Amino acid sequence: MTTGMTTTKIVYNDDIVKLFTIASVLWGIAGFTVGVLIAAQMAFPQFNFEPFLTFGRLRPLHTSAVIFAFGGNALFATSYYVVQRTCGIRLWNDKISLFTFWGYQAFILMAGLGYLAGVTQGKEYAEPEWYADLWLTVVWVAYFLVFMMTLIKRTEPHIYVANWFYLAFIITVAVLHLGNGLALPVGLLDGKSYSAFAGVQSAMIQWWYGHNAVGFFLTAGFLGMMYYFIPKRAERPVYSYRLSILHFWSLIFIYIWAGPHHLHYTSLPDWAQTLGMTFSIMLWMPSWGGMINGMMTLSGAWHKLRQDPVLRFMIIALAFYGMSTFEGPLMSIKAVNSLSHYTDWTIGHVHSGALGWVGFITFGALYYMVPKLWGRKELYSMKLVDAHLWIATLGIVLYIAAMWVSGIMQGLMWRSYDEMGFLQYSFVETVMAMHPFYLTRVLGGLLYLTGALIMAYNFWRTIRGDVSAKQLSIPAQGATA
Amino acid sequence: MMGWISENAGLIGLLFFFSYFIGTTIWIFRPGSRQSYIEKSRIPLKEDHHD
Repeated sequence: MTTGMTTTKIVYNDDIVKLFTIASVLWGIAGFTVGVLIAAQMAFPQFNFEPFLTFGRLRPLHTSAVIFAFGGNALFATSYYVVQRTCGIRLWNDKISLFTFWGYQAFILMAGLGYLAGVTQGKEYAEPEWYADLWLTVVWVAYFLVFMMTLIKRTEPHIYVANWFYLAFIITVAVLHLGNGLALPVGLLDGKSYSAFAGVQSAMIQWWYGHNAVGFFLTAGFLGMMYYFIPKRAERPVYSYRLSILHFWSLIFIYIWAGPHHLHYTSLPDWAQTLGMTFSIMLWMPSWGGMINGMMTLSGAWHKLRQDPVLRFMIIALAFYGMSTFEGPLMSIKAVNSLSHYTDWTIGHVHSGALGWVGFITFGALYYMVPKLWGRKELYSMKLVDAHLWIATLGIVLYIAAMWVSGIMQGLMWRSYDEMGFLQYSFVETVMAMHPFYLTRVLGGLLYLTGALIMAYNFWRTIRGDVSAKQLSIPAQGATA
Repeated sequence: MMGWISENAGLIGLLFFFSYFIGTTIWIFRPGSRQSYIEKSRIPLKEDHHD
C-alpha cells in the first residue's frame, strides 16, 4: 500500500450521507408515482384534475422530481460518500454540508410547489422561476465549496477518477444553470421573469443547457458513482485507469457541443445543427469508453454477476447506458431526427437512459451504501433485491418497447400522404392509434414504481437491523461481507 | 489580430481540441506510467477505515 495510508481512524461524516440517501429514496418514489399518473393521463384524459393536477403542471413536476430530487439527492449522497473515502479525510465542514441538504430540499419544494401553482419559466428541465434559481445558486456554491475543500485537504496524493467526474458535474451544472437562468424578474415581489435571450438565441442557450443537463447531471455525475461503486462491489480495480482518463476528457469536451441536435430543422442556422449532429455522433466513443471500462472491471470475475443482484443492477445499468448512448447519436442524425423528433421515440430514448442507466446505477449504489451507512452486515433480504431487479427490468423493457413502436408509428403517420397529396391521418387518429402503447407504458411505469417500493421496504428493514430468515439459511450470499 | 481569430475560430478550436486529445493519449502512455496507474486504480479498494 502507498504512503497515503494512515493508522489513525478517520471518522467520516456519514450522517449527511444518510440524510441525502433517505431523501433520494423518498423523492424517487414521489417522482415515479407522478410519472405513473401522467402516463395514465396520456391514456385517459379524465385523470387531469384542474387546475393543479393537469398534465402541463405535473410533467415538469415528474421530470424535476426524478432528475433533480431523486437523482440530485443520490449524487449528493454518493459524492459525499465517495470523496471522503477516496481522499482519506472527513468531509469538510459539517455545518455547510448540512446546509446543502436543507437548502437543496428547500429548492425542490420551491420549484415543485411553483409548478403546481403554474409558476414556470417554461424552459424544459429549467422550469424554476428566478427566485428558486437564485436560491439554488447559493446552495450549489456551498456544495462546490464542501466538495472542493475536501479534495484540497485530502491525504491521498492522487484525486481518484470518480471525483473528477463528480467535480465536472458540479462545475458544469453551475455554469449551465447561471447561463440559462439569466432572466429579468418583472418585479421583486413577482414570480414572473423574462429570459435575457430572445428568439433562436434563447432556444440555443436552452438546449446548450438542456443537453448538458443530460451530459453532466445525468451522465458525468453517475459515471462518478459507477467508478467507485462497481470496483467496490466487485472487489476489483477498474479495468483501465488510462481509459478512464481518456474518456473523461473526451466526454466533457465533446458533450458541451451536442445541444443543437434538439433544434434540427428549426430557424437555428444550418451549420449549428450540423455541428450539434457531428459532436453527438462523436460522443458515441467516449460514452462506450465508460461502458466498456465499467463492464470489463468484472473480467475474470463474471461469476459474481450470478451471485450478487446488487452488482447485476450496476451492470444492467451500464448495458442501458451503452444502448441509449448508441441510440442518442443515431437519433441526432438529421435524417433520423426528421422521423423521431417530437414523437414518443424521444420519450422512450430518454427513459432507457433514465430508468435503465441513472435509476439502476443509483439503486446499485444505494443497495451498497445503506448497510454500510447504518452499520449492518448486509441487506435485510437479497431475494427482495432480486425481485426489485427483475420487476424493474421488465418495467423498463415494456416502457421503451412501447415507446419505440408508438413513436415510429406516430412519426410515419405524420408524414403519410394520400394519392391526392393530402395528409393521410388527422392528429386525433395518431392519438387513437397510440392508445394501446400508452397503456403498456402505464404498466411499465407501475412495475418500476413497485420495484422502488420493494427497495424502500428492504431499506426500512435493513436500517431497523433485521435480517430475513431465508437470508440466514443461505450462507453463500453474504458470507464474504 | 481579433479579426484573424474570429475568422479562423473553427480551425483554432479543431486544432486545440485535437491536440489536447493527442496530448492526453501520449501522456497516459508515457513510459513508466503503468505501475502508477495500477496503484491509482486501487485507491477505492484500500482499507475502509470506517469499518
